[in-house]
Amino acid sequence: MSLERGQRDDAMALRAGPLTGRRGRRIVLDRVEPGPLASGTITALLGANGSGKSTLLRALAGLFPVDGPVWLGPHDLAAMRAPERARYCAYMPQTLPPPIHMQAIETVMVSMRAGGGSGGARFGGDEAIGTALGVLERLGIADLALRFLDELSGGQRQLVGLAQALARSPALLLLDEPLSALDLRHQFEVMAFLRRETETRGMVTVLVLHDLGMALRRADSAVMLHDGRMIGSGPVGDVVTPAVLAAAFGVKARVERSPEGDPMVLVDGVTGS
Amino acid sequence: MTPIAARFASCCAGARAHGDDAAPLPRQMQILRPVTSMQQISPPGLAEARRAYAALTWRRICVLAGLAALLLTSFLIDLSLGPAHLSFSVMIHTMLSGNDGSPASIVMWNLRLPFAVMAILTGVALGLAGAEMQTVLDNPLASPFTLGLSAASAFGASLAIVLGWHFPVSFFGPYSGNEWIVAVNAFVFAIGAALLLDLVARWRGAATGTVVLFGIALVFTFQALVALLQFVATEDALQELVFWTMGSVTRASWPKVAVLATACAVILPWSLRSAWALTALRMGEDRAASLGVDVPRIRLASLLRVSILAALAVAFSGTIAFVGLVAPHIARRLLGEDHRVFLPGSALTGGLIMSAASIAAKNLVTGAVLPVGIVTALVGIPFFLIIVLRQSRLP
Repeated sequence: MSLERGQRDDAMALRAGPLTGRRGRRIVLDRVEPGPLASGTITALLGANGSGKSTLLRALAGLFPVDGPVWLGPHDLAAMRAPERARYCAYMPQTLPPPIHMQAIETVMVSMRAGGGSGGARFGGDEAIGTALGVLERLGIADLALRFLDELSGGQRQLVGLAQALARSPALLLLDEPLSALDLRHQFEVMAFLRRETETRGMVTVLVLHDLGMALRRADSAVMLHDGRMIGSGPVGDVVTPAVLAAAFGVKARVERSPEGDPMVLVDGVTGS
Repeated sequence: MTPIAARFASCCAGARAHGDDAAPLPRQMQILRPVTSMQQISPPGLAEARRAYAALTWRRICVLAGLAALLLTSFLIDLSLGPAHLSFSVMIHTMLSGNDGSPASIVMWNLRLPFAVMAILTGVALGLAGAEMQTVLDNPLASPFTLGLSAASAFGASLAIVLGWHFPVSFFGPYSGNEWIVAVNAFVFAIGAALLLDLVARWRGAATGTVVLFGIALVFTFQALVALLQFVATEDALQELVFWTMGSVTRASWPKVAVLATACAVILPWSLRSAWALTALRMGEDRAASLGVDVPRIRLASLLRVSILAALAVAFSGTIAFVGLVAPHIARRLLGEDHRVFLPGSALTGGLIMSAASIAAKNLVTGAVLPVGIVTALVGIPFFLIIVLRQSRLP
């Protein structure tokens, strides 16, 4: 994926780090510095289980305390209190929205309203309903709008969770494994959707992904983490390479092209055994 | 596939289900989008979504009004029934003319009114406390009873009843009689237990699960201590203690009613101010935090409100196990999770259960008033089962 595609505006780029975070005595993020991430681009956070991907995402969202600066364009996110920060960034945790007895559209409106940022729209007013329904429509789940979360499947709730994050029109969108509960078709559709939204709204989108092929095809840049340290960063094609994959996952892998020219990762074995 | 095509597909599926094979679905379409019942619902348009939301809001207001009406009815029935047979007109007359010293008005103003009002206020306090606890601790089993507040206050009460050990209450002036000594002891211990829960909740990194487990540990600790005191208690003290722990509104007096009413009147609006944050909390702690909700502060303020409400309710009415746990579940079923209606709904449901229990307590056994704590569960459980087991998709 070339870096030339999409609209970008470096005035609203995300500049973070070096970030260092501890959990107890253990250092879980060690001087991680994801390079300036331009708006209108998607960045994939990659790495093995426990490598610090989710922690880095939570740190960017302000939910995990770290030492180090986080700037979004001219805005110093690290210095902001939670309600102010929530105006700029939206975060979707890895856990699915719980199956509570609330309509999907209602939860989207709550996420627009809670924490103060409703943009002046009255809760349950025509404007708020219109915005919420619009997001659900763009995600292709308008038919779920009036259904209750406790009667939806895990994947459907994950889509509603994504709508909750997007309805806030964030400048920085942080998604922790947004595809984990989705079937193949929805994985494909959601990534295409994120691509469009990121470009048209000029967002900085950062997501944790396990599907390296998806990252190669749909992300602009990537950050590879290993044991809380950054071992690769830059255009996704430069990060997902046999050498980096060996260091990050301990696998012998190669990047091949499908007959259609799409990159894909093939794993041939594990290293060091 | 466009929505139109999807609708076409679902129409075809419907037709085929009726045995019409003339229009087989294109094979590719079936593979792309298996037609399930879910997709037969066409996406609502904007106007439809607005109508549906307006209908939902209206329904919720109606349910709240209905609960309030039921509560009022139950209150009037509670007032009209009792060993002294007062006709309805006498009852209304004495209520309007105030306490003029006649036997009827003494029954009304010294017994029935304070008992009936205390039953409702206790239910309101426990219902609200349970609702907030279940939300901030993210646990459907959380309630003042299950997390040790009631057990702690029973221990405080038993210290006063069995050992005569109590906090200095002389500064309460006229309210330093024996019944207030027990109530103050119960209150102090309930608040203490709640503060311990607060402390654990504030502990760096303590998850909600830890708080719940700690609360359960409190229950067993204080129950063991109460049992110990029961073991050493004299026969008279034991009887008083057992009666206290059964929970009863017959200890009510106007000053106690005033204290609990003030607490409810202050705390309900305070809770409603956090309604948005609490609703967001139901969507997950991390999600709420990322929406800009200060989760630790909300949780702390909520636990403070819970401890005041639960401690006062238990101090005045003894241990009443069922209401704080079940009223929120009933309210959630009826009203959903929007805390602007869920919190008042749970308070009203709690009041209704207690008021109905108070009626039953007076009339189940002729000539005796049963401790209301015994009948709350008996009265509430059918109500609870009907609503929870119905598993209906409430629109």
